Amino acid sequence: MADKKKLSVEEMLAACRKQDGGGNAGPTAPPSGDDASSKKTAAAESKPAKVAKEAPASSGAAAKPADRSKMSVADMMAAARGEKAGGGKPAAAAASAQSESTAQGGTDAGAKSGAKEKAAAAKGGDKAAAAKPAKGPAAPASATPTKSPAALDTASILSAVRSGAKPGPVSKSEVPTRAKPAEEKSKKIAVPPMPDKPAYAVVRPTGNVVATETRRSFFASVNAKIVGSSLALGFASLAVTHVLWALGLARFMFPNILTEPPTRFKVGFPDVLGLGQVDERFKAQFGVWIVKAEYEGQPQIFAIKSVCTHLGCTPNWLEAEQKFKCPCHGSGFYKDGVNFEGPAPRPLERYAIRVSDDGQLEVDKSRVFHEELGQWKDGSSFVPV
Amino acid sequence: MPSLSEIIRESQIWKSIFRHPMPVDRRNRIVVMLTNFFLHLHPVSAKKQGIALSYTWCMGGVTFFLFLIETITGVLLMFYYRPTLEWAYSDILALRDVTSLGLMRELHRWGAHAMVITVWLHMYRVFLTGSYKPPREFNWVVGVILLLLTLLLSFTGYLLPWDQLAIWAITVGSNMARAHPVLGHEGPGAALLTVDGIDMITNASDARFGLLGARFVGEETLNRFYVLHCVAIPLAASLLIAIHFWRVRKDGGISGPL
Repeated sequence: MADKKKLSVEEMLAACRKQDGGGNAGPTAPPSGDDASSKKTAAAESKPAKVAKEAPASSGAAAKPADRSKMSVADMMAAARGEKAGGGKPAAAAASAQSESTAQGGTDAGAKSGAKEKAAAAKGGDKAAAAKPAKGPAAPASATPTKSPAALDTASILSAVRSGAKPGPVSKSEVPTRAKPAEEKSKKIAVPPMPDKPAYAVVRPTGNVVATETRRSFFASVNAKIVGSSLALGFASLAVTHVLWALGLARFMFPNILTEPPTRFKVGFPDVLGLGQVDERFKAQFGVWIVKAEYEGQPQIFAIKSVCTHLGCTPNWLEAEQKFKCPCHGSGFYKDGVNFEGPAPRPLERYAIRVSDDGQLEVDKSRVFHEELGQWKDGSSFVPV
Repeated sequence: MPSLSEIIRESQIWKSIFRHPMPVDRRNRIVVMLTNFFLHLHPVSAKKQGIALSYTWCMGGVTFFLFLIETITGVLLMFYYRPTLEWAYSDILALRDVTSLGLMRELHRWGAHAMVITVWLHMYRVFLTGSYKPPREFNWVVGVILLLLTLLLSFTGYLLPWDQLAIWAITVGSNMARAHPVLGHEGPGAALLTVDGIDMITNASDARFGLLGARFVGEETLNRFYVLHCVAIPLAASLLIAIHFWRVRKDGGISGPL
């Protein structure tokens, strides 16, 4: 690559002449001072086998058509390597020259890749000069043999920009993207098919399959099966154990015995209470007042939950003032539980109450009745007197 | 169309937790070990011989595993156990007979027995392989303290069932503190600490009294042992275990010649 940029105009012309004139060009490259690549070009013609190692890509591409009449395998390999080293597509002229070699019926790798290039060159068509810089860093030199890479004309630069490619020097970060076509091409070198196996190398199928299994391989396969299955079994049982433990721990967190008072309890006979009386005996343990009073003109017995409807404090029954008064924020409730002062937004709540089979009142704290929801009309929320 | 695992592994949640790609190559294996809190306890590479089971017996690892078992089951037991004279014994019975998953206490008990055994075997192995020698001598000392803490955990846990066995075992065990030189009121030198003819070391001021919180094993002792067993000693053991593991790495890796 680096050598390519050192090519002078004369050398490029010489290379073109060689491509055009086939094999009769001879070593016409003018020896321009100390330019190594020109010497290499001459060497490439005289010793084609060395081209791949020494000559830059364009020289390799140029050398190939010169010797195409007597192409050996080494020549084709050298040509292929040269293309790979060159990276980009060869010039349109080179492609056409290679297409001739393809027409000659060459089925080797170099010819095949040459055919591919022909298609690419045909696609490029008349704008080949502009398209080449996009295809590879090597292209400008060989595509526009009469110009040095630095002397690109404005039209070709513009078309290169329009085609989305960046002409000119390649930074390291761009190398992977640009070198790609060359790699693809190198992959396309066909590998000749393997020769048929000699008779002694062909494995003859035996009638008895078990017979091919030695004792050692038998135990190996059995071992693999056992280990594989036991590994799966081990992880499966581990997973099952974890799930069972998770379920067991979830159950563990729910105690089977509670030390708190029961939610259903008896509070004595209804006759014991006088009308208008608030029974405070069950407040401390169960959090409930048993009240025999009138609610909306109906005398009844009901169980009031001793939790303020404001923020959940426990109100006190003030016998002298005949009201429930919350010590926290001053909410006040009538004897029937309806709020009348302070921040409490709604009446106290009732628990379910009924007369049990033995005639005693029984409170069920699992059911709650809200006055504002009309639930105090529910027959379970009171015992009529 | 990305697969579900790709969607998960490309998500911000996943990336915020796991900072590095799957450990498929050497570099990622190293950084995964270094950047994971749990894995960074391990070295990124260890000598093959150093982790041979026939060499290490994995007794330190098993001991740590049992410590984790004891911690988890112990926390679960604390949900149901009350260290009071009224409830301690009946709570122990209820843990077996009433609570679901009644083998929790058995796990804790058998795990404690096993931990004492494995910690001794670990010490035995370290001794046989000469792993107590410099530069590992400090870690040996840490290990001896951990052994003592393990035994103290067993001793304090022994009292908590609050049955006759527990009470008399602690009575007998703590009686040894009576004979402690100077600090025990029956030990040698106790009589030396007298001020104006009054003994300073008595059965109400010696080491045993400080341990039991009383002259005899009682409710104060139960509460004291409960706090020691559930909080104080496990905290100290956790700290020392962390130091122990750290020093294993810093002093030349797991066992084996340096």
